[in-house]
Amino acid sequence: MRKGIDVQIKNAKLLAGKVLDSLNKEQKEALSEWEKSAQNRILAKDILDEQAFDHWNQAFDGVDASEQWEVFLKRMNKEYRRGKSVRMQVYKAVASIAAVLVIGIALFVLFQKHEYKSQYQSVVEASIGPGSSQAQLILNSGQVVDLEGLASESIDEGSMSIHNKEGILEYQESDAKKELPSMMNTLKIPRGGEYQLVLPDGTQVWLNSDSELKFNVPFTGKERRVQLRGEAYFDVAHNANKPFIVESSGQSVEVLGTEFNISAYPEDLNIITTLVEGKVLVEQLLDGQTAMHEYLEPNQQTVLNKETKNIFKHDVETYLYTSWKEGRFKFDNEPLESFLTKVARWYDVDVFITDDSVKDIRFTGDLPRYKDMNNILNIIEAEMSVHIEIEDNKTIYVSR
Amino acid sequence: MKLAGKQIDYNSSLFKDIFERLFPSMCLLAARILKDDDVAKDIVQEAFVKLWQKDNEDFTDENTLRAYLYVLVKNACISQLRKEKHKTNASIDEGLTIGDQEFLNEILREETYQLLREAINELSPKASKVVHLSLKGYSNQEIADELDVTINTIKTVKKRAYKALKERLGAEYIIILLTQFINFF
Repeated sequence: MRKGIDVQIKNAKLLAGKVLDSLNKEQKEALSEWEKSAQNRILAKDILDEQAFDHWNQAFDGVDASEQWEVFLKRMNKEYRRGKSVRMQVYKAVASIAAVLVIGIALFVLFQKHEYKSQYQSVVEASIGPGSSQAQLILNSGQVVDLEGLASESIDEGSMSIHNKEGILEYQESDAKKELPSMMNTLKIPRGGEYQLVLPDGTQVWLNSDSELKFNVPFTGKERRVQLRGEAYFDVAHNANKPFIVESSGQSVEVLGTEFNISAYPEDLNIITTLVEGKVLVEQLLDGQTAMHEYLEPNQQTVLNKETKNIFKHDVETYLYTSWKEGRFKFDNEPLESFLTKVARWYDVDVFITDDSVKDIRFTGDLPRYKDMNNILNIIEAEMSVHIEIEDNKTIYVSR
Repeated sequence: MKLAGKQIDYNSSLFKDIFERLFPSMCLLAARILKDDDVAKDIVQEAFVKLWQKDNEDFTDENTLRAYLYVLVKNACISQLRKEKHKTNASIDEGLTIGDQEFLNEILREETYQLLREAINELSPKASKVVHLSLKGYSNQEIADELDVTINTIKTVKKRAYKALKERLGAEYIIILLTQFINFF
């Protein structure tokens, strides 16, 4: 701590020198080294702010050091000089009373102002923890199993035994019960949750917050068909004879064996399918019939607009769309509104942008997913010059 | 408390000087951490009592004294926060690690603002305006345009502010003051 304080005393000289344009070459280098860390940049921006400085000056002027010195002396005299009382002169006493009154009134005014806004927290005061592994499994019978609170024993479902461990739900076919019929299961992820699924054919699925996957176990017939609402990353086990089909409202994606991400939230305008590896066929469905289709190569993406019914294919950096599964939020030139929509699902918060002009500010960055949301909001506030207020760690208001 | 090897009385003008100069800053810092002005004052009072009681620490310059006082204030804040029950959100460990960084951040804020305040205090209202506009993110040219002067004037004002700052706070000006004081006796 002592060392850290010494460093801050030096850093303060760099920051003040920066404002006064008075850094020498060596100091400039030291400052740019210090500012390499994003957190330091945010802190510097927060400190070198006119309003914050004004506010501090006012508070500084509000502390009466000589009055406090009297308090200190009185107390020390009591402790160290028993018997020798120090008499305060009458005018001093009057002055002290007046000072107390003035401070009291000032505090009252300040407090009232504070009270008015107290239901809102600033980013620093709030505490919004990240999401976690949580999901509900709905069995064929309609029985709902809460996976988070479930002991690690396995569940029997038709010919399957289902194992649940550390955020991964794994299906295995037991040979003994092969004659039993196929079962329809649904894995439901709430806001603020995520879960990983291993289907009986070995296909792995990472499900993002506020998402749902319906599937039959085991897969029967000529294809492996699942239904997705929300976002999921698929790593499909290769089986040339049994194509894997992901259906979302208005779209189906057919694959043989490959890795890809689909984002198909009902409230989003677009269904976005991003191919990492292999080859897939994306089909637009109208009344259950294929209307348009596109083949995707790796590093390509289709954007299906649910309103115009247009499907648009382009090249992308896939990591932007799959980073969530690696524990990151990576964005490139993302409008603030859609950025916040995505992040809000994971932190299970509601976001209101009270100023339309803010919605289109673009954000580029790579943020951690398993950290408190405060980190992200801090960065947004600093980098995008917006004002953020939080209510009950649950509702976030963004304004100019 | 010892300063440069010499015992200092709590009711000496030297200690008064230190107290009055450092108290407001320490108080603002504690108030930001504790979000309570009155408790902050009490805690900083307490810290000065401890500072003076410290016999084994010989402060040789202003910075070591400040740093030491920051530690005292920080410790007092942490024990105060522990007392406050409604801080149950975070476990104690978590609270402490967050506290350290938060504290260091607040120290940086405090130190920076003090330097800027000192720099402005000594100078004309124009210098203050220049610093404020700089904090608003204005470039020298933009400040010059705003105040209707040349960019060179702005540069000069900034240079003068920095020079004043260097002279007043400089590196360790209290030690000069101290040696003068000690030599006097």
